[in-house]
Amino acid sequence: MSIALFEAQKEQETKTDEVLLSVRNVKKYFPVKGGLFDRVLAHVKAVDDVSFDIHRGETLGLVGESGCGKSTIGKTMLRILNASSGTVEFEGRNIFSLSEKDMRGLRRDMQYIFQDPFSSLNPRLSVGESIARVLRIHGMSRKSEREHRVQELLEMVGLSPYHIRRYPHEFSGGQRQRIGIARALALNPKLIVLDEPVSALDVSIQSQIINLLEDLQKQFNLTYLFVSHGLNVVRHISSRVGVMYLGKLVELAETDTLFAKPQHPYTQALLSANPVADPRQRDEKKMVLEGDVPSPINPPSGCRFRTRCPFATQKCAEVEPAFAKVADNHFVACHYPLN
Amino acid sequence: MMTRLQSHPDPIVQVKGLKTYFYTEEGVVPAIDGVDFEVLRGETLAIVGESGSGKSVTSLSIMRLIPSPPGKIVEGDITFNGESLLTKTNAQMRQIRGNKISMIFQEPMTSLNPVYRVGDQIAESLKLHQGMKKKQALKEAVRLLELVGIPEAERRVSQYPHELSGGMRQRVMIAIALACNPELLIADEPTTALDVTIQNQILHLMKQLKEKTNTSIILITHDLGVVAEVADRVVVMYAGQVVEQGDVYTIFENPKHPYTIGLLESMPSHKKRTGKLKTIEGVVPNPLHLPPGCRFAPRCEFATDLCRSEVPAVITVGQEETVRCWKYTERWEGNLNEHSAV
Ligand SMILES: Nc1ncnc2c1ncn2[C@@H]1O[C@H](COP(=O)(O)OP(=O)(O)OP(=O)(O)O)[C@@H](O)[C@H]1O
Ligand SMILES: Nc1ncnc2c1ncn2[C@@H]1O[C@H](COP(=O)(O)OP(=O)(O)O)[C@@H](O)[C@H]1O
Ligand code: SF4
Ligand code: SF4
Ligand SMILES: [Mg+2]
Ligand SMILES: [Mg+2]
Repeated sequence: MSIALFEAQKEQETKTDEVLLSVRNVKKYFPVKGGLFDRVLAHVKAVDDVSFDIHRGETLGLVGESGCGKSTIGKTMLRILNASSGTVEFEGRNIFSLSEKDMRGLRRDMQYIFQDPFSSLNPRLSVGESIARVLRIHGMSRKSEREHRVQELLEMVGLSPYHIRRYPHEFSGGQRQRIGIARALALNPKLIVLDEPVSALDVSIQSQIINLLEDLQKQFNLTYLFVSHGLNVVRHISSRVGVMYLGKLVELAETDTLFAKPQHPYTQALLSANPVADPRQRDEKKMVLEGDVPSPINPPSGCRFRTRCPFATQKCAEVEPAFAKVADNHFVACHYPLN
Repeated sequence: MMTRLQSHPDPIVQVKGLKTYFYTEEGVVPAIDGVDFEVLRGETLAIVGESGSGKSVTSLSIMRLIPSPPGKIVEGDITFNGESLLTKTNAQMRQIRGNKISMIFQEPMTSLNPVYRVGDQIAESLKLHQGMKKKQALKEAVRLLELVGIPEAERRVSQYPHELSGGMRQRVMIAIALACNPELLIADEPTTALDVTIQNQILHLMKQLKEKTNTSIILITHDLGVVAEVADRVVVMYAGQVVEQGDVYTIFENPKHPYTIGLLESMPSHKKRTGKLKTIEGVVPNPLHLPPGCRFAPRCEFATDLCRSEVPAVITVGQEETVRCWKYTERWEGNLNEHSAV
């Protein structure tokens, strides 16, 4: 859909929520190289024309199957990856047109916490050194000040000062995730992208980290983009949820609405496939999606979900559905929204 | 007081007082430390627990595939159709593994051979275990791929593993596991690496297979959602021991062990969408330094001196349930009334 239409629809919404970051028509294509001369043979359309806003103080959840582009949009949004096209405005400034120097200033405001708590820490630095280094790079020159801040940060995430001199391999997965969070908080960010922050953790540890993230959000008025394929976790923590499929955002709505009345057939299938921890519900009719996600190099024409969609028609193969507003705060990309 | 669960008339598998230890450089890891359970004919038994609780070592012990050294089954017995597996020769075990018990591992890519076509890998198993000729085996391979829901099975038999998606590879693994018509299928985290829509396909498939073939299944998982979806009975493990077992409805609706209760309560669900999640504070104990009494005591809100000093016995409660916790014994002081049912 055209950006003008999207903006016009946004205008009509009662503007109670302040937009912190807005993503418009962002594309990220990765070249696929090969052959004798390492030529570019094709492109992986990892993120293909995605638009949405993140409001200050909210948690926007992002769900979808492996490879649908969740991490890529998160990284592109913070300019960790360079976008192929589109714009991202953070507090009204287009971050894609900032110089490296201006961008460095902005990086304090936007942090990324990676999926794997095991690989995101430097094994040769003690936890204290790891965090102190971030502080030093960003201009905290006095050692005593850094030490004080490190101690404060570790306390914030529930680790005792005893841990300062320990190395990553001495920590459990949950503790490493706490360290990652402490490091991200070091510079008082406004926005944090949390990329599968609890997926690698056991259930009993997951809830500890989720509670911690919620506490910190309240305390410091943080804004989160929470990327996960765990639907129950996303439902718990998010105020709104976006659903991605094969590089596209296919639905975006308030959490309760999305879970109660999904309008995109893919969202419906995804929710129906999510196992419910209640054996009495096991025989309820499930929508079993056939087949697999197609290749993002050659996505289907028209609607990308049509190869697995039970409602697909000829039109779906020919015309790409617009990401259009179906109700207040509710966007869906489908020719035949449900309900 | 040490009441043991009443044996069922004809279980397919019995694990009795099993201890499997690893003798490592840092010390002895009691990975499985006194585990009892049974698998009934035609049922799906789920084994749940956090990583490191001993789920995989349990299944490897049944298959007699514990790497040795450093591992060793040091005590107890495992029977299959009433016969001890621990006294079988290696040759006899190979026969059983190929024909009667099959196993699916967590990561399908590492258990398929990358250099052979998937059809040949299934056919190989059929030739070996069912004595089929090559042509017949390949035909049967196509049928098995269809059975596990792989589209265009005729074309897929001649593809290599890397040409298939993760979900399809897992289905090929199931096809290979089914090639010998096993009486028992052990599936170790068969859907952990898969997306929910693909996981849903595999679980659906496993349910159908159980109905069609009456295979008994041991399903190992850390996902309580998966358990609720397919299990008939559930074994909950913590730090190498079974802390609770019972039928799936009891485990979800009336759990007894503080760990099981904590696990269920710490799961996010829409019913408790607002407010804080419950947590189990702390972490699982280091297997080299296990606490002397109840292994859950350092994280248990009910722990008493008794819990911290003496190992709780396994108690039978209700009809078919066991729980390893002092709270359900007459030695528990204080809140006996609250649990007068026991
Ligand atoms: N550096 C890269 N080079 C080429 N292709 C890439 C690169 N990074 C990602 N991709 C591709 O882009 C697509 C989207 O990947 P992305 O990592 O964003 O998925 P995701 O939704 O985060 O998946 P997961 O849930 O598995 O983390 C995939 O097809 C992936 O293979
Ligand atoms: N080959 C091995 N050598 C030493 N220790 C092992 C080995 N395999 C498993 N263990 C230990 O046994 C315990 C149980 O492991 P496992 O059964 O794999 O757990 P899970 O419940 O995650 O499947 C863990 O403490 C693990 O570290
Ligand atoms: S546009 Fe057509 S194919 Fe796509 S989700 Fe809607 S009905 Fe299905
Ligand atoms: S025995 Fe004691 S410490 Fe262990 S689970 Fe029961 S109440 Fe808790
Ligand atoms: Mg990712
Ligand atoms: Mg395991």
